[in-house]
Amino acid sequence: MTKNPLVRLLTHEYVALALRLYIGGLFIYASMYKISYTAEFAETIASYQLVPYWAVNVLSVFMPWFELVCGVLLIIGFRAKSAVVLIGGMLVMFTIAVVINLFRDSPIPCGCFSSVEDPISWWTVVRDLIWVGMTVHIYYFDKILHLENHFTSRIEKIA
Amino acid sequence: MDQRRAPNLSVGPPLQASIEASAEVSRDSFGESFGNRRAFQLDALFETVSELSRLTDPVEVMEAFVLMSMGALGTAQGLLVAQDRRSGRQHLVLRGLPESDKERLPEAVQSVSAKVRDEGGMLSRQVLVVVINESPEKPGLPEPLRVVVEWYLDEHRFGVLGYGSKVNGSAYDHQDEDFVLQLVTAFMDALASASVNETIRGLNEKLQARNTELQRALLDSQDIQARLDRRYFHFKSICDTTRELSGNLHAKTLLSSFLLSVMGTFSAQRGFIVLWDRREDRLEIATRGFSDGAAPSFDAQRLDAVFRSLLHPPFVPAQGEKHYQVLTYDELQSLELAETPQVGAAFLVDENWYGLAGIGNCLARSEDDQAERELLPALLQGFLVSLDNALAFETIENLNSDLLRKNAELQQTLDELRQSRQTISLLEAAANRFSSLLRTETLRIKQVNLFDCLALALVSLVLALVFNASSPGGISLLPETWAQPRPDYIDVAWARLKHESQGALFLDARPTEFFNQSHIAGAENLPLNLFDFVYSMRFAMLDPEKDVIVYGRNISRRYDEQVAAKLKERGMVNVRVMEGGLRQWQRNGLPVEP
Repeated sequence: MTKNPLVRLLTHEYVALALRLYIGGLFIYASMYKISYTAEFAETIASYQLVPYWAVNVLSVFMPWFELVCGVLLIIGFRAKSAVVLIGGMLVMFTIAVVINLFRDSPIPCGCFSSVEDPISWWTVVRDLIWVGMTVHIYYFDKILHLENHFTSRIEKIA
Repeated sequence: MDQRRAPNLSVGPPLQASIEASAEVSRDSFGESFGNRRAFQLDALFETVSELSRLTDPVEVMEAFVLMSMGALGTAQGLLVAQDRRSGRQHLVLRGLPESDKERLPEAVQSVSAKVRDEGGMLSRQVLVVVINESPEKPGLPEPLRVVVEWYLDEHRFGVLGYGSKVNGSAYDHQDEDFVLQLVTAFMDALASASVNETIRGLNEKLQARNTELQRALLDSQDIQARLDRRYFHFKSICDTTRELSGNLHAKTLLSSFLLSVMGTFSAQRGFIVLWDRREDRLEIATRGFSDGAAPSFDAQRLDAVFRSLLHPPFVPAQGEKHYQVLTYDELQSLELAETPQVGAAFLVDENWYGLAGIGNCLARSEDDQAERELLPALLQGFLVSLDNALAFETIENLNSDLLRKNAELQQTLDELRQSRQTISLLEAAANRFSSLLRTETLRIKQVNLFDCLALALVSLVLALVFNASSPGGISLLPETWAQPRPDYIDVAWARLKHESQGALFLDARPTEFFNQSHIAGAENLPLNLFDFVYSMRFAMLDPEKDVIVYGRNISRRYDEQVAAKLKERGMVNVRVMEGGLRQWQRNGLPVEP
């Protein structure tokens, strides 16, 4: 492996691990408030004006838990690939929603962590894109400290 | 030399008659002296003839004739040389002559033989007076001879006869010459007769000798025939025994069969044979002809002792060639059997198998015959070959059964192995399948998987629903408006009229941020999320009869319907919801604030 040391450093598995823990923690943290205050989150979803009125409540109940489960699995390293892809997908979706509302000039907060926040801005989009980049990094370079590896390595030995 | 040929006297009247006739002639023709002399000569001739006729041996004839003729002629010297060419014998009679002349005499005969060979020189029974009253000039003849006669009996027998001068000194005359011729003729007759006699005698003797020889030969041939017969019998019995034994492949039956054969061959009435396997200490005994309890008993100890005493050179087991020994009478006696057998033998098949045989009470057995002595060894050789075969066959049979057993075991093991292999291959296949399954599973775990995503979503959904149902802060999953009665509606055209006439209160039900952004001119903000607070603060005192037009809905929320419903709950009567909302209002170009 004759790679650029910088590239090697950036693509190192420990970096991926750190990013994984960060993103996973971020999602868990984000989900907590939303789970506790489902009604407020439903308002936030509604404020984006992208979801039909009959689906808003269901989505507001489901989404936080989905974020939580994905975040937890990403951190413990169980079905981490799928989790990180789902998280990445959600981030992309959020970004698109924010971009749409930025174009609409909707005076809404992000609603990412709590209902009381500054209104969305292009910084929000940049921040989300950085997070998307992190999930891509995790997807490609994350290898170590997976709960699954603990079992699969043994199974591979047996097989 | 005076030579006269004498008449042939072999033919004519008998001798006796001719003598008498000539005597009669001489008595008439000559005087008294002549007559006396003639009578004397005839007497002498007669005597000579009769004397010679008694003799049968030619030699005796010759001896006697010389003496008698000498006496008759009145001379003291006589010679006779006789040659028998058939037998090659030469006989010499010498009377009154020196012995020294003896050696040269054969030469004298040579001339006669030359004449005989010369065709027509001499005739049969011819007598020739060669010399008379002179010394013979022939080589070899003695000097003192005055008469020499050559006689010729036949082509084989001839000779020379000679006489010296007369004792009285007178010379030989014609009468003497005739007399000599007659004498010689008589001699030749006698000689011929004696020769015939001799020949007959010789033939007789030969015949007798031949007879004797023939007798002896006959006896010899009879003896040989007898021996041949016995030999043939022996050979036949050996052949029969060998043939009978050769097909027999079991030691026990072989023993009894051999015993029977040997007993038959030797005309025996009893017999035993015992075979001892020293390695396995096994005994095979066959007896025949013994009365109950009289049969010799054997055990391993006894046999061991017997063979120890026998095992000395040349009966050595390791030698290989001499596997048997015919036992002498002394050796048989030393075995101390109940009844000593007459014929016995010990034999070895190999280093483990020892055997002993003995037969007794043989009828018609001659001990010293060579053929008889060779018979038992010959039988034994055949028997040993068969026994060897039988033992080998038994070994082979044992090995075969062993092999069969082992084969069966092997087959069983093979079957078990095959079964085990099948089991193993099944297990292996299962393990392979399992491991490949595991491998794909582990590989799958590390990949993004639609199923995983769906499972994750499902788990999240379940958790969310459960939590929402159990949590106090849970919300209704369905929109609240669905459970409420349909509100009254008012279209934008009527609302415009109401707005222009200021006959109605316009309430914006959207959140404050949206109200602040843009709203119908003159409208009040009553956001759903702050309804209770804002209503109590600003609209509690409102006339319940007042026309109220509520607007503000979007894709995600029907704020207007809900606010209208709440207002009706508070007692407001004329509450209407404006169809199309702010968007329709703006589209119609109606006034909005900032």
